[in-house]
Amino acid sequence: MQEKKTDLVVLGGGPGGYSAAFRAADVGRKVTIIEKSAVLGGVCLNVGCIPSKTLLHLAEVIEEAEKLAPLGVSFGKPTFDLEKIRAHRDSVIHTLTSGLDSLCKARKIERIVGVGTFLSDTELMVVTDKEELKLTFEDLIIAVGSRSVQIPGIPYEDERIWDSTKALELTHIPKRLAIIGGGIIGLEVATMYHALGSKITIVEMMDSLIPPADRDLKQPLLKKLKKQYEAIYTSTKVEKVEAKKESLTLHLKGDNAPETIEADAVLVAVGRKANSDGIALENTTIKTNGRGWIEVDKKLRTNVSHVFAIGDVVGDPMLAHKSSHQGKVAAEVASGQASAFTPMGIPSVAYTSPEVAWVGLTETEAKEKGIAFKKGSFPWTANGRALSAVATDGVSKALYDEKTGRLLGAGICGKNAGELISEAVVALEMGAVSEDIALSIHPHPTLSETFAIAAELAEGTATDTLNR
Amino acid sequence: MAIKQILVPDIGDFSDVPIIDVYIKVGDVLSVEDSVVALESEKAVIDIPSPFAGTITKVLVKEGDLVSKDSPIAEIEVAAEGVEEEGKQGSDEEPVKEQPVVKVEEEKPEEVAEAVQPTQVPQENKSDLINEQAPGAVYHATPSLRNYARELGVDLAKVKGSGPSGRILHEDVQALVKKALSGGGAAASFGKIELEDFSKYGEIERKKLSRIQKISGPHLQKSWQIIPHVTQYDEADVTELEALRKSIKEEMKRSDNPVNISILPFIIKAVVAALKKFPEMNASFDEDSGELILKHYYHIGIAVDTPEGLIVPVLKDADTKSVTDIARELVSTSQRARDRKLKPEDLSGGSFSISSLGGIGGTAFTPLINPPQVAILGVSRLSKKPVWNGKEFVPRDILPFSVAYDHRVIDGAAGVRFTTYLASLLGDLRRVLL
Repeated sequence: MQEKKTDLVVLGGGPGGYSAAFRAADVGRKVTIIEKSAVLGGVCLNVGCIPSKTLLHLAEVIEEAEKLAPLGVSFGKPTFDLEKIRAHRDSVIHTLTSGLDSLCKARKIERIVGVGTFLSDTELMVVTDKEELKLTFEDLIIAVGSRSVQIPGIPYEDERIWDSTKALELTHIPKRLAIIGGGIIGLEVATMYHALGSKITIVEMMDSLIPPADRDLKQPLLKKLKKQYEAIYTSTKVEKVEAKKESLTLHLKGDNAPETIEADAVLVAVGRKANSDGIALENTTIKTNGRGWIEVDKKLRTNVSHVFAIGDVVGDPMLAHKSSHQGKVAAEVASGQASAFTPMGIPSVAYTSPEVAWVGLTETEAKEKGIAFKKGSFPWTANGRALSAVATDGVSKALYDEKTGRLLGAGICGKNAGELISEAVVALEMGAVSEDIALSIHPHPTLSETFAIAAELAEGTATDTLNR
Repeated sequence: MAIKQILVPDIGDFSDVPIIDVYIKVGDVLSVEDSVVALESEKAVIDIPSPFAGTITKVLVKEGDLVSKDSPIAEIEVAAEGVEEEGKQGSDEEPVKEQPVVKVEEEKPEEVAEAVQPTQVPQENKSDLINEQAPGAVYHATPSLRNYARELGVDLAKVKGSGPSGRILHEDVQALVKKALSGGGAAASFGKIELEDFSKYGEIERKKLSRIQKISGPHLQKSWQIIPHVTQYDEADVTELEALRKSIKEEMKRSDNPVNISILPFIIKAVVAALKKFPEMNASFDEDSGELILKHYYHIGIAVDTPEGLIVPVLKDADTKSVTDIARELVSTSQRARDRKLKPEDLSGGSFSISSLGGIGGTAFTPLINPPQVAILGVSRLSKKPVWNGKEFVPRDILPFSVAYDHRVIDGAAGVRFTTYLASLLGDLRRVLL
């Protein structure tokens, strides 16, 4: 086995891994990045966030066009050329991955396409298609991500059983798509296939879709999905899926669910599992918790001081924007900087229609923790821009500390909520009080005004609606 | 079996005291009085004893956590018989708050070393600073400011925000660092000595500093770097004082309540008399207002060398106590130190310090001032010396001593007047009465 001495190694080339590698190179480290795939970007860029948003854009345009028919503007019924759609999706991915390739090259980062596993706290074995390498390293950042959880009772070998990656391949449009798991991923796939014509059934084990989001926040979405989809079964378990030639039979257990439903494809999206089990951590002293999440401190350091871990492999929330921020912090800390990962909130976005986005404390959490707050909540039905855009399914809400008035958390449901939530993120990090937001002039007419009016409602100074 | 919480007992007038050591882990079996954690208070390291016997089921704190009175430390499953044994513990619900004790091991308090009062300095290890902001907290720092503070090694929990709605501004952090650099408030790091690979010269080993050394180190460094020290050396002819001491010692042997009397109680009395004549020596310097804070009390810190490091118990109101009172108190302090029964208040409030190394040896040394005090007396070894009395050399008992003082507030002439006066008092203790 060829042996090699390296400085800083990043294991995994997803958004966390490449951000860590790029930042480390920029602060003067000699960086080696190991990624099993020939392209950087990981799940997010290749088989996750980016392809899903590419397809969701089509879904959005289709829906927007349909909404105009009763208003006097009609288009023909859409037709789909799946091959062209896939080509567009791939070109978006290619543009981004080739961008990463050149950024990587320009930073003189050594790239190894291969699988890295630990030999000890200071050594890594890397298997490429040509050779086996033994790397010793000064610092290492683990960024190996996560994969879809598999639940028992499902014939995964049947190609009609999908995970999110398979769903984004867009091989065909099933007539009936059953989705196990009503979280963000399940609902996004539901949104795109619904627009393409599939009949959607969702089965969720918890009592509500998108469990972490406040009920009043997601209400506009739930109301709409109830009308659009064949069925939504909450508090329902899938006992098993039977693969028959003509269809898949899902056996359900839930108070309001039938015993079986039929589907032509089944998406399993019940969560993600950290990939800490594939890197031979047993050869190291690095600790994981009961869920296989690598334990790190606020500096993203594992219990082995020169090994860091970031992103999905350190646990929830498993989001690309968390990983990339953590990657930079880990690179800086490993290089002697005084950085730490101290966000006050990590925004979550469901790219459904309408979108649901939230950051910081939710109302449910605030109540559980006994944190006293005042709340401002403004429904979009009274917003001019929302009315004009036929996008009144929405609400903007924010929680402010009762004593200090400081923003604790915010949620926006509606068109472009994922974009609009950024204002709340900045306000949260800057320690803004409700008055700061209310007195900052928001352009009229915009959807962003709704967040300002929610602040005015908390202040009792709103004029666009009655202050309660 | 019952689960009890071990709480931080009343540790005196402190809050937000950092935990510097956690002795327990889940599953540990404890007896009553076993130490659970060590706190670093303003004045000393305090071991918190367990009020219960039993098995630890949950540890609720970690090193570096800030705790105050009644903060929960751990949960302990109390063995039923253990509770009965400790019947004096009172109600089941209310864990008894034991008086905390200070770990000091010391044989002879008279034989003391370099005077340093271990003091908590709000200085963070730069690499450990997180500066996380709690949502809705009274003070707030933005992400850039959190980074800025981490770079400067400033713990934002210790910064008061002067901006609107309690926002911490760049200026607040800068002001704190400025103040630290000029001697007040939190001390920033002053850089460090570069090391080399010594193993290439020969064998080496690494030894951890004791806890008290870790605490007193920054305090010493601050004293050394901030205070312009001047040391005035002198010696006193204590022949008559020694004769008096020996005769009292003989008397004491026959008394009902005998106590061994060293020269230190006499020195303390002389120092108090000298401080009364030179009040600026018994003072602190308020740099912000440019004022000297004169103290009308005479609490004398006596530096004590312990296996854990230096510790400075304070003899309160030395002016109102007799030589024999002081002697007894020094003995009892030493006993309580041996029994680890010193309380935080035994270590606080000193207005002047004495470091006596005479029991060990030495002809003269430069003691470091124990801030916020402005002067310190160092005592070296008493010896017989020939002294010319005009006709002949006669053997006299000569005590060398030194006084280090803060030159910002005490000038050279005042310094030497103080030592001269102190020497004259030690030469003829009757002058103390004047």
